Amino acid sequence: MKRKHLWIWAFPLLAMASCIQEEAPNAEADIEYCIIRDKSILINEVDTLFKPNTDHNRIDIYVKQNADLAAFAPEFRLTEGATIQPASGTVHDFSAEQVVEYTVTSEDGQWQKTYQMRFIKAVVPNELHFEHFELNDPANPAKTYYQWFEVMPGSDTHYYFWASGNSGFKMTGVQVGPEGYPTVPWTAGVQGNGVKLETKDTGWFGNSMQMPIAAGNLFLGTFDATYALAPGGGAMKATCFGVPFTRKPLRLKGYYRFKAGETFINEKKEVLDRPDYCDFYGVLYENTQNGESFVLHGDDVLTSPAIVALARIPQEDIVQVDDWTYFDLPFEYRKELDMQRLENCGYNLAVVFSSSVEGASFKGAVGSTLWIDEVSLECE
Amino acid sequence: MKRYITLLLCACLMATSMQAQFVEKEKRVEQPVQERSEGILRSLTKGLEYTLRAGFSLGGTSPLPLPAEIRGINSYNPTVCIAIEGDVHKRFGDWGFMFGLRLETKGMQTDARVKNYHMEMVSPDQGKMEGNFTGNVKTKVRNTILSVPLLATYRVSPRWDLKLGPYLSFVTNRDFSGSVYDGYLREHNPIGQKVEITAENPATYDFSSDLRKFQWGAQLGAEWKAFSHFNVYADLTWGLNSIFQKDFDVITFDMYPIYATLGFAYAF
Repeated sequence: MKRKHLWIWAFPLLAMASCIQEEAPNAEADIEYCIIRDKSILINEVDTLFKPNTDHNRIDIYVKQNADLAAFAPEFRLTEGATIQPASGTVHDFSAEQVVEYTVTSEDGQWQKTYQMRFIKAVVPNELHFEHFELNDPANPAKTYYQWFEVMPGSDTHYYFWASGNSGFKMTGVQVGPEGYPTVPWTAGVQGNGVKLETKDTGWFGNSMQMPIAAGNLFLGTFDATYALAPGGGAMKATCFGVPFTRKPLRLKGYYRFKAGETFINEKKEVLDRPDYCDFYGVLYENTQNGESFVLHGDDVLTSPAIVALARIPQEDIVQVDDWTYFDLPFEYRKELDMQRLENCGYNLAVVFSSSVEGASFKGAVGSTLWIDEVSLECE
Repeated sequence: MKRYITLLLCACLMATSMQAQFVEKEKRVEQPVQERSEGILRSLTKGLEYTLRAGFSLGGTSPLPLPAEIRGINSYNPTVCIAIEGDVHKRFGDWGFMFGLRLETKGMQTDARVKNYHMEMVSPDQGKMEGNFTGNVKTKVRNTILSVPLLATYRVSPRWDLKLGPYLSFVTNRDFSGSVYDGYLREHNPIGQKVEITAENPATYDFSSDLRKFQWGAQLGAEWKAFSHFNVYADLTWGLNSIFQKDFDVITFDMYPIYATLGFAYAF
């Protein structure tokens, strides 16, 4: 009976389908990939495609210490129909970590994005003071958040070695100013500024996606918010831990304070009867696996066989006092370090701080707060 | 301009109809009505007809024309929409005037493929996600509406009537909701941060409270007298004001309800 009348449905459908207009030209203006043809500069020679992060306009590509970049011609794959100035494949001087600006214009001509591209040889310094931070997008006060960078002696170049989940928290749509984000500066540091990391409620949207909390975190690496809403552990791919490191780390030291939140919940917002802990650690790992580039993510940062050395605060040692507590953690080596590989940037170092130990799987207590300052790496 | 002509025409017809009723009442004073059926019979002879009708509606709430942001329709489900209506019809020769009260549902469910479609999702706790979405959008519309059609009628043949005129609607129950999935959102604008939204974890939206309560539009209909009391009819109602309130700018284009009703009428 019902089937007889199916033809009726076809009319509006056909009517609508026949009204589909011609596709509008693309409005996006992305560099989808940078293509590096001169493999000799690359840390890993198969890594010829570099995908820029969409939450900022910086393209920072780590290269070998001996890379010659005085006349270098990167190529680009853009959003379909978009154009780039200066053109893809033109030669520029990228030596001394100079920034070259590229402007991409969308196919429809309405949107423009200016990228700052540079090749980085600098390596994370041993002393990490957290004195350098800024708002990522001060022109947009409703959606801006803090980000941290390092500055090398004798230079004013900003090195964005640090990343946090702040850009992911932005996507939850919770309407708070930058001070309400999980990772914020803390003016009462051990010396100057420190960092406050606090596990936050992600509101209705976060909850509806089974991500009811966002732990405050700060780590060496990048955060790719593209995958921040991916279900079933996919969101763990958003945290890309580690930057190339050329020294042998022996100890991770610094100061911390911790206060656990009251109610521990899981990703379904069910209350579990257990305390929350903070977590911090340093991980040194091999950044290539079977010839492919390799990055640790939230799901394997402590378990991957690529890990060479790990320095982690033991949970039972975490104290909750009002004063700063000193920590000094030895890197425990699981594999022998290949010094040649180390020199060629074959290892990544991740230093990770999180206000909830299981924050990556969206379990923790809202209000758990970790303060950190004056972190240092003791290297051989 | 055409709208005003139609409205004027209806106003004239209504005035004439009221005058006619007035004359009838005067006559009634002279000859009191004894039986109800006799009264109905007489008003029928005087040109007043009463009909009760019920039908199924089929259609869509759609932007017109479809904006370029909509790239394809994956699926469309008209859902079960009904219309129940009582009318009074007054004839003047071949011409006539009809008005009534209609309780109806207008709804549909669609799944469309969109590109660079501007959306804003506001959660109950005032969280806000806004930006340009490329991917799939599921939309569910279901509104319960009380409408008053004001129609001019014309008898084409002894069995066929055509009807045309405006209708006024009051939406008593509003639902316009759905989800976006299998695509990505560019936060704020097409060059903003990109976030993938998968089919397993869609982002939902609900614009129900942004729907206008008062709607109006034009109605075109035809009615066929199958038996002496039993008619078959078809109506097309075409909304002429956007279903969204004036200050609603999340969806950047206006949307109009366009529905066809097929049904049976009983003429007393």
